[in-house]
Amino acid sequence: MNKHNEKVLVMRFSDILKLAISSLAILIILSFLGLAVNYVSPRGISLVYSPPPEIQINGISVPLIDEKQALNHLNDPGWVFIDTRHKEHYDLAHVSGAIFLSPEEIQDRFIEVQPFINEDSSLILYCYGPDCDMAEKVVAFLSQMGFTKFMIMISGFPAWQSAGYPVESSRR
Amino acid sequence: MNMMSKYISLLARLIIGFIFIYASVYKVLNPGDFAVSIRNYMILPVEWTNFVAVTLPWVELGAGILLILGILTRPSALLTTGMLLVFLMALVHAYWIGLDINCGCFSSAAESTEKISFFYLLRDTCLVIISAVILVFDQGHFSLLGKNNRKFV
Repeated sequence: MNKHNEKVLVMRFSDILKLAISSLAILIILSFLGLAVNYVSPRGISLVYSPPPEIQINGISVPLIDEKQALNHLNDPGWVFIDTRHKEHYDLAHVSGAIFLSPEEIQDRFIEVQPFINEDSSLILYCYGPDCDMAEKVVAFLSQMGFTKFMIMISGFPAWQSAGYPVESSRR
Repeated sequence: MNMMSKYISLLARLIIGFIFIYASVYKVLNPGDFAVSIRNYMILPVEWTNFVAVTLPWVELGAGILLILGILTRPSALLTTGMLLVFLMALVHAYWIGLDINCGCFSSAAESTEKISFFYLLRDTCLVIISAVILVFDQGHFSLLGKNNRKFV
C-alpha cells in the first residue's frame, strides 16, 4: 500500500471529529425541516404519540381510535373494517371495503360474513359516533366467537366521511 | 487504485442516493403510516415513534440528494451508513424474535405485503457495505461544488 492510499484510509482524529460534527449538523437541519413541514402540512401528526384509550369487553382490551388512526389500517390486508350501523345506512355509504355486521340479527348475519374474517383477523368496528354502543355489542358477540383483536373507531362513520376518507355505497 | 476508487465511489453514491430518495418519498408524504411501521418493530418507546416518523424521512431524503450531488458527501455517507446499520439492527431484532410484520422499508407496513425474511437482512447488509465504501473512498470527485467539496470535511 503506497503512502497516498494510507493517507486515504487512515483518518486523523480531527478529521473524524469534523466529519461527525458535519453529519450532526446535517441531521439537525434536516430534522428541523421535517418538523417545519409537519407543522404546516395537513397530513401532519402530533409529535408525541399517545396510545389510544381502551375499554374492556369480555376481558379483552379494545383500543378506541379516531378516524385518522383508523385510516392507517385501511389498505392493510391484516385488518378488516366492520360497519355495525343499520343496514339502510350501510347501503347508503360505508368505509371502503367494510363488512356489514349489525347487532340486529347478528347470529344470522355472522354466518354470511364468516368466510371474510377469521379468528386471526384484526377488526376495526364503527357505528355512528361516541354515543353509539352498537360496535361494542358486536365486539362482545365476536369475542365469544373466538376473536381477540379489536379496535373501535369511536368517532364513527360521520367523522370518517367528513374527513373525506374513502367510502363506497352498496346502492344499485 | 485512485482512478478506480473515484468511479467506485461515484457508483456507490448514486446507488445509495437513489435508494434513499426512493425510500423516503412515501414516508415524507405519509408520516402517520410510517409511525405505525415504526411501532410495529416494538423497539422505540411508542411516545417517540411519531417524532422519528416526522424527522427520519427528511434525513433520508436530504442525505440521498447530497450524495447524488456530491455535496458534503462523507458526512452524508456517515448518516446513510448509520441509518442503514440502525435499520439492519431493527430487521435482525424483528427476524430474531419472529415478529410477523412487514418491512415498511420503502413504504408503510400497511402498503407493503412482503414479510421480513432473510433476503431483507442480506439486502440491508449489502447496502451498509456500499454506503461504507463512500465513507472510505470518496475524495470529493464528481461533486457539484468541484474541489471545494473536500473543504467541508
